[in-house]
Amino acid sequence: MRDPARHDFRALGTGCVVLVTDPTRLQPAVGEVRAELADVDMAASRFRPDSELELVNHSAGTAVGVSPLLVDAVLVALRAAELTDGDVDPTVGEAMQVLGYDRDFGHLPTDGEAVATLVRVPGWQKVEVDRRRGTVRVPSGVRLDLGATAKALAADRAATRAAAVAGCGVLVSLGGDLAVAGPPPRRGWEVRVTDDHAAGPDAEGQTVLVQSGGLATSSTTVRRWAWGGEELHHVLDPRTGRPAEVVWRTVSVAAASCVDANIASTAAIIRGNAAPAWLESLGLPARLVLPEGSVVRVGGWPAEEAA
Amino acid sequence: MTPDPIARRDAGLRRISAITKGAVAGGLALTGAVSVLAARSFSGTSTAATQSTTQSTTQSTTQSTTQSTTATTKATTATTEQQTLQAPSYSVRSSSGSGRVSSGGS
Repeated sequence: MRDPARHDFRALGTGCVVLVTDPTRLQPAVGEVRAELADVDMAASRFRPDSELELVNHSAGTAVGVSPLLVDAVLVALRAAELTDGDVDPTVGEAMQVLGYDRDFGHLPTDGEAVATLVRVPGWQKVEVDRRRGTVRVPSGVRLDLGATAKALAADRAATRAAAVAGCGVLVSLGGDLAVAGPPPRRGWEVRVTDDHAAGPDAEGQTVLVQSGGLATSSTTVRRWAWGGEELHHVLDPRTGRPAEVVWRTVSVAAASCVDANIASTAAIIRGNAAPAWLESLGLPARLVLPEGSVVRVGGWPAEEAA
Repeated sequence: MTPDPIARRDAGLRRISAITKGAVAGGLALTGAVSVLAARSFSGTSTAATQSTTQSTTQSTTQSTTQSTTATTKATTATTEQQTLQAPSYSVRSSSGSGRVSSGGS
């Protein structure tokens, strides 16, 4: 079997990688991935004033007719909230805004005024979705931020769509959250698990073989910004409206889909010390890295192989 | 008074006709009811059926789009309806290689 072919580009404010098992099918696969990501961006971006999500956010109190894609994206986000008892909550949008994360990360200013007031996260239960009518309604004062799950959903959908058209195995990585579909390479997809998805293949970490579903990593070491002299990161604890306390610097989880892997890795960062037992109870293979670098493995995550 | 034999015959034929119509209507109603019960008891795979019908009647470009849309819709629907986070269907294994792609924070 030939080596997988690779294509890199930027989408949804992050780096995107497409790998295919059949190099002759790279272009059709990339075309499908680009099309899917454009659809997701138009539907669910918090940073595009013309996105459907922003229309919903600016129509608080009113049921807004939206595309089936945004309905699905909101339902996925609400499922994430339900399955994590609110640890991964899409109603953190206003808190993100107050903390200064109000535009594409690459365009954030280097600093801003100190955060004077904390924003209480309203809670996902207040969001109403009518799948049959295709409407979403948020109450006044609520802003949705689907960032935690929409990117993972986009990876799942793009990989599935690309594999169906290309007729071969496809891996799609969006900022390090990856989904695979179709027949994998003989040994599986070789993935380097590390702190920063943009780090090279030899960065500190571990290489694992992925056969199906998804793998996601959440980290407090990247996407950090300073605001009012305080250094912040993007994983918010909905109970405080502030960045989660750093117990783990990085958590990687393998699951049946990229969405489930992302939900688990994000929630694990927020759950802190309770995360290993929670992941173990779900049977999710996970690798958790403490700030000083030592590693905790649960759910059947393999030990490192000597190089 | 003895009824006219022809009138008796006509009355008999009308009764037979009514019984026949009733039997046909009852049979149809029973068939419908059994069909509904069977459909509810043994749910089908309408997506696959639709997909295969589409595959046999469209050109390759349309076929690919239909396949990808159907596959994507099925995958997303499954994701929104699962009641627990789903573990992978394989055992994650380690490798001594350097990896073709990185999973990390972004």
